[in-house]
Amino acid sequence: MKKFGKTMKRFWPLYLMFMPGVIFLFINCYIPMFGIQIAFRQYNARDGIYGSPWCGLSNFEFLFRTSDAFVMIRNTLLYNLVFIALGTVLAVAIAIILNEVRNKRAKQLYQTIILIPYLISMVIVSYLAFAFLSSGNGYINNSLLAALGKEPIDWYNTPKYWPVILVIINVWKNLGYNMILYYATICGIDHTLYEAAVVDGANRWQQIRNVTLPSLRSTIIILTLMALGGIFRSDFGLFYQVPQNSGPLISVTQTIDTYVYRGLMQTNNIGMSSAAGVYQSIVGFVLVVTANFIVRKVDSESSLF
Amino acid sequence: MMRLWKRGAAVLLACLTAASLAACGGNTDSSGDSGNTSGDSNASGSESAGGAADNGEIVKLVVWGVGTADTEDCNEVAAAVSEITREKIGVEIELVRGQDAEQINLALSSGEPIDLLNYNNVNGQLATIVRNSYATGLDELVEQYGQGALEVINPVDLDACRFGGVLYALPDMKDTSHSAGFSMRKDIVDELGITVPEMGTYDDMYEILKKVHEAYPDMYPLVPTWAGGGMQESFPVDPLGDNMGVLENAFDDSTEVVNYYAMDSYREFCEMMYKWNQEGLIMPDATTTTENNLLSGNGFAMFENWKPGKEFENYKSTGKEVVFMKVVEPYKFTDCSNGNSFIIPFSSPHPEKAMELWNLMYTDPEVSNLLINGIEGKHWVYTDDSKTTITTPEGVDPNASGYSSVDWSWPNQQITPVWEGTDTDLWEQLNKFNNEGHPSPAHGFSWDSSSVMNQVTACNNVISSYHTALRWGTMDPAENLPKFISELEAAGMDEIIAEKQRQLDEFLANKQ
Repeated sequence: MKKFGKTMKRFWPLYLMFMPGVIFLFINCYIPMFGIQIAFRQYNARDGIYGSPWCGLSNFEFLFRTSDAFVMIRNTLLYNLVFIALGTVLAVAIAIILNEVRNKRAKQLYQTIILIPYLISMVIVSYLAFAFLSSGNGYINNSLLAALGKEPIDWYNTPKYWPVILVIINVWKNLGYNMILYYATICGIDHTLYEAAVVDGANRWQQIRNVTLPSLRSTIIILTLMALGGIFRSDFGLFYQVPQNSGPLISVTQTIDTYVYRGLMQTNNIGMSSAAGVYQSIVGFVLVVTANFIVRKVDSESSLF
Repeated sequence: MMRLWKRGAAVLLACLTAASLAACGGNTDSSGDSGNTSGDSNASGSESAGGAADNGEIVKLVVWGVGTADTEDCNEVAAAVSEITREKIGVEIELVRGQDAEQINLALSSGEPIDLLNYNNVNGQLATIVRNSYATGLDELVEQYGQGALEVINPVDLDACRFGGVLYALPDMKDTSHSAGFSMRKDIVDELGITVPEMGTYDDMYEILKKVHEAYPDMYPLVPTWAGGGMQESFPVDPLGDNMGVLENAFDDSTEVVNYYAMDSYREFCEMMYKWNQEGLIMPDATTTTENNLLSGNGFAMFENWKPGKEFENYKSTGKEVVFMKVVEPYKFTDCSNGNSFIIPFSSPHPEKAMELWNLMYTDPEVSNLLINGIEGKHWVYTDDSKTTITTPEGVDPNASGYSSVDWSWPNQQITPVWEGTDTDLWEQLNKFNNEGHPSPAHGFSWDSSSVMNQVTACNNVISSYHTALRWGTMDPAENLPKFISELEAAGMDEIIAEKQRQLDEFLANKQ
């Protein structure tokens, strides 16, 4: 306690700066947590949250009832793993390439172009995709494939193309944001390191491999760990809007979020939707803690906590 | 020290991940009222002071209707209605229109004070509302304050609004029979000299579509009724609340609940649509299109429900004249009678006054007309002195007057003047249509799915994988229909049907 008072005295401006963030987190993230109990109640509006009867785990049952459970968990996990892996590799690569561009104007221009998709709403992206893929007026079927003399493809009824399409769209959309995080880290690397490397006779490639990448390591680890926390969640817009809710594609586009939406749209069951949220959060939490544990074993400096 | 900071921040981050779930569940804030209800309270504040002086207490009721309308126009209508209601029953109203399903759900689950609410936009309609206990039981209120409404309402339709014996809604004076078929563009029909029978079959439709396809190869002969493969289905089934377990033919006496998607008629329909699709009679993007008004674009025909005056109603909303061919005779089932009406939400602070206002909507032509059609001179004018027919004022776009006239969505359209372009005896025709409808043996039965909620949720998911694609013929039924049915069974369809059959048998036993 004495020690705490001492650090308080010494660092109080820092703690003061810390406060707004803590208050924000408390109001937005901790207070609403009391709603977790809804997942274990048979909620109805008239009795309110406290008055609704408890119902144990029965709200969770629908998530595991059928073979859909396997499909949606598989899709959610695999898509997210691909998004994390591919997104990281490409974002790092482009950040490095961007760093090599010497013309300042050009650099800003590229940066903006890469970031723009991140700012577009997924609903608009779904219309863009529809403009490419629709069979009536779509660009690919009517302009590209027709010009090449190939048969048009019924995109919205052919599941096999969609894993690729969804990955392309997601990477295209989110690349810019991750890229900026990495680029900022690269900008912060001490220049003397590069100078020393040049003196040692390192070429560009060797500089990247031996200076840039090692400096990026902890950023990559932190961002990946945080992405792992969301591995049971999915971008609803990407998996529902972009495939235009097309039935035949559901085997490859169903994720936990779309399953909950499709199942509960008709019934408005608040308890069951909360249950899905709790489930996703718990798995995400466990994954973050486990991944961090592993990172700490391997390299304690890079771990989150 | 650094280490501690890092730890603290990271723990918070991890918790943040865990906590964000609560945002979708437990929030009880009332973001639903932002912008919609705050604007007009000042406007009528001064008036209410005057009225309150000689009338004791003036109560302000909040009414949520459907259809698009500008806030200012709503306020104007509400002020005009308040003029009347202040005198008669001592209430003023505040009118909000055009809320979508999500806004309504949020308002209901957060207990926002609303006194009368139209549930047309809510998925699952009255059954969902009642299951979530959003509605106030009406039996005593109607007894005390709703005698005028009871006089005009058809008792058969009233019974369809009961759940477990308790009355939760009053049926609107709209079409309470159901008849389905196709609507087609009149200009094309006339041009090709096609004779469209009033009552026809799918084979008739096939011939018509083929003719149109030959004459206009670039046109889409058959298009969805709304975006994303919407279809007003045309089976004579009683959906019994959710279209999972149904009565296959509402016209015969069988009360056996069957799987909708395993019916022979469903299979035949899917096979037919598959064939039509192969022959190019169906719009290629039918299941994924994002457009709603396809008849005003490049489409010729769509599945559409019919009632007297429907031709004009479609004209009002799309600007295209249409002709109808019905394939199903009118019949009555519960969801049709209790579909699209009002409830008094459990959160209403003044249920008695709300019932009085509701009663007035059924009995007072002026109130009804104001709510349905808006302000005279601004949203509509009489065509002549007989005051039986109205039309849009000159210089006002009929599709964008600021207060859309959605007559069926209000309690009593039948005491308002008809629009120019419809028959002057429209309301008699409507009543005849309602009375002629063959009642399904399960009419009045209401399905309570709460005991099989998990099965229903799983089935809903299976249905969304297949149903739209099958009914639009983009999926081969020979290969996919058996898969569909077996997946439904795995998801618990049989349990749903068994439970529904049990409830239905109980209902029928009590009825006798």
